[in-house]
Amino acid sequence: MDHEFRPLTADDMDQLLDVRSVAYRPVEDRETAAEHLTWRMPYSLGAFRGGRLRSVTFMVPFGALLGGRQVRIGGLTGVATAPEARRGGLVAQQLRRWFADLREDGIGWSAEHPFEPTFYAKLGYQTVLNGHTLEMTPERLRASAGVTLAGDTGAEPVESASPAMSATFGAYAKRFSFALTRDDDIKDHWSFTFRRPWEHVAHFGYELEDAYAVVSVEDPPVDPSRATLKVRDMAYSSPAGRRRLFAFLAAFERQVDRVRLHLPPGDPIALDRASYQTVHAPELQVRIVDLRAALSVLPWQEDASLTIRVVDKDCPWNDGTFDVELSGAGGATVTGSRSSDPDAALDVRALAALVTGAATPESLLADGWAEGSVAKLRPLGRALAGHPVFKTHNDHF
Amino acid sequence: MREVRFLTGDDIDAAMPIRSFAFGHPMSQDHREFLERILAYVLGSFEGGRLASVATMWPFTAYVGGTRQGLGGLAAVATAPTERRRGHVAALLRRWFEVLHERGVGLSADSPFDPRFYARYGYQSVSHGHLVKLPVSVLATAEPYEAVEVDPDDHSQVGPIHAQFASRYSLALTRDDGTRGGMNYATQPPGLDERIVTALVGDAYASAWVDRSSEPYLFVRDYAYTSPAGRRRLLAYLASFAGQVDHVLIMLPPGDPLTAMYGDRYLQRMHGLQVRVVDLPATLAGLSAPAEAEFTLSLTDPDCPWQDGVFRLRLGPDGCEATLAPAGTTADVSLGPLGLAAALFGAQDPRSLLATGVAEGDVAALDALAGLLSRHPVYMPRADHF
Repeated sequence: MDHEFRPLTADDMDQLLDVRSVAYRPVEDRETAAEHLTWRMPYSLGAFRGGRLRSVTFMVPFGALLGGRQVRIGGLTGVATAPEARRGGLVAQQLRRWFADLREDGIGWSAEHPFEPTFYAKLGYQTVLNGHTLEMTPERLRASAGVTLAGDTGAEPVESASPAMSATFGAYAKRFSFALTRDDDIKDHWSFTFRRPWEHVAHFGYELEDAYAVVSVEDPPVDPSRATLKVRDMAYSSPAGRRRLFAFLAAFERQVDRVRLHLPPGDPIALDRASYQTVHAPELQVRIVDLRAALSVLPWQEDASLTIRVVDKDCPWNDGTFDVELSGAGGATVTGSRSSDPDAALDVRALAALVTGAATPESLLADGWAEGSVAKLRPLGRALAGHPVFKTHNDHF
Repeated sequence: MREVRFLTGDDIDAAMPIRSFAFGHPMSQDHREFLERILAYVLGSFEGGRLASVATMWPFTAYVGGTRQGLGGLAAVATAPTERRRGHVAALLRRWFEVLHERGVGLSADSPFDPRFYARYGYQSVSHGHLVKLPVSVLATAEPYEAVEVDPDDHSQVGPIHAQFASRYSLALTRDDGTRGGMNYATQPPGLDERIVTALVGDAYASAWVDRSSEPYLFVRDYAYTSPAGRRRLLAYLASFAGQVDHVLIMLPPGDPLTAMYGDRYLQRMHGLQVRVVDLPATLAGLSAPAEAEFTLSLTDPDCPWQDGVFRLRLGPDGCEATLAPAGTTADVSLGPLGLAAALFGAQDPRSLLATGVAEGDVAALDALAGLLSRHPVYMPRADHF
């Protein structure tokens, strides 16, 4: 009997909770869990056999920023398969359907946080470095931030996001690629920031001029260690705002032993401390699901043309030889090519690594990820040079 | 009265206890002979004729943007316990910056005990690769290979492989200048020389040993390859240790497929790397830029007064130059030595430099500066650490 693939409905909620229970962890409060999943149901796809849910995926068209532009990306999340159906290719079949749907909707990129990076790499997702997750003493934070403990930072507690916080986040996030916009009306991102549905205690928000932080103080399970300040979310919109923000966080000195925070690439604190104080954090993987849409939304730094051979076994519309015209004024056109002598050839993961800046053209060729002309590939690697990848862990999906 | 000068043989008796206290080096004949060999690289700060502090600056040569450049490798900075916090290190560093400038060396680098200490003197922390401890199974490839152990003194085959590999990156040492033993420091480092095996695997090599201090793992001290097939052969060779070890500790360069796949998951604590531009014109000389650009840059650098001012920068495919502009010239971009190194070596993208207040001015000028080394990212192999 073949599997039936269809979106889940409210009638499937019990089955969904059962599958998630065995895939992730037991669902203790089914009512709350169902409430949390309701908003996701329009973006679900299930594989059923004999009416029984065997595997499920969600692909949410989140608003995101790419190269300074607002786009939609397919956020893959909630992948779960019943134990008896594992290793049957159901996730791959669902993803291929999702890729086709995203293409129809004009969405060029998908992203996800893998449980293990090689699983989704087989389906074309490429890991990209996503900032720095650091845990350090408040003293080290203060030293690297170059702030003092003296002085009033002007922090005011807030219980929910204010328009000023939202504006600060907007100014901060637009510097980065794959940051969510949080204004897509799909999910209540800001409520989620202050309190996850499964949390009994809210996080605390503090608004400062040109900056904010949402934090919690958590006790470690074992004495004699003392508490850790966990910065769930933060942003700033000016150098002065940044100084106020880190002065505010440094003021937890002596109250907490450590501060845990997720910093973007290029942050001076991360540059100082990443070699020493990096802690494990979820990876970010991205996929080009439609070459035409993916390249056309990006800002290119120069006019360039090239012919590339792309290998993509899961997205046949990406699998072929293409003439690519990049416009320094923005945008790109991608058309099928009859050339039998492309300038370069690479698979879709290598292309994602190149476009997101995860690898230089020189590395791609030297490491066997690509073949052809470095000079021709080079313009593709400059699209996000001014907007490095950074998606804060607060926006994990 | 304070004096800063190079050590002589007469200063060794005073230098040894300072270094021993700071680093735990034994007061041994080996230590004495080592200092005798490197006296030309060690400056001392003396107070009333008594040695108070020492700093070594190795005269390395490094690849930078596809060119070879002199690189002052700051190491073994130590101050007598009773002389701390009296400005001896600052005096030593300023003198070293002068010496490097006089010798036409544009760059210095260090591996700090605390990055903030040297940041005060203009050393900027930069990303320089990923130290990962990988499950040995992820290295497996189907590439057939033949591994041949090479004599650790024989660099006739591994030397050219290293040169081709290392020249793709910036700040990787050339190892052919005789400093600190050159390639021997990779293939037979002091203390490990009897445990390391260097294997030639076609157009690749690896110098590695099995660390048995806890759960055994393969420690790859150095490796290089010159082709994709060579890389596959190298990984297949390392994967052959499966069974003897569960994990492989290896320093991966930026952009390596294993870095991209596992750089987050298996990252290990590692030494930091900081770089300082001590002479901007010397640093830019010999480099080439992907596109023509011309702008003015104000550099605030009181520790290096010869470059404290406004420069006119001309960058292009045919070469780059920085010349001091007349007094009163308006600058398109303003920064200090930290921002300069961060922009040049890709530690901060231009918009981050502006957003964090490290630089001010025109993002296009910063883009041009950042583009200089973008094709040659920073990577310092484990064996180059100093």
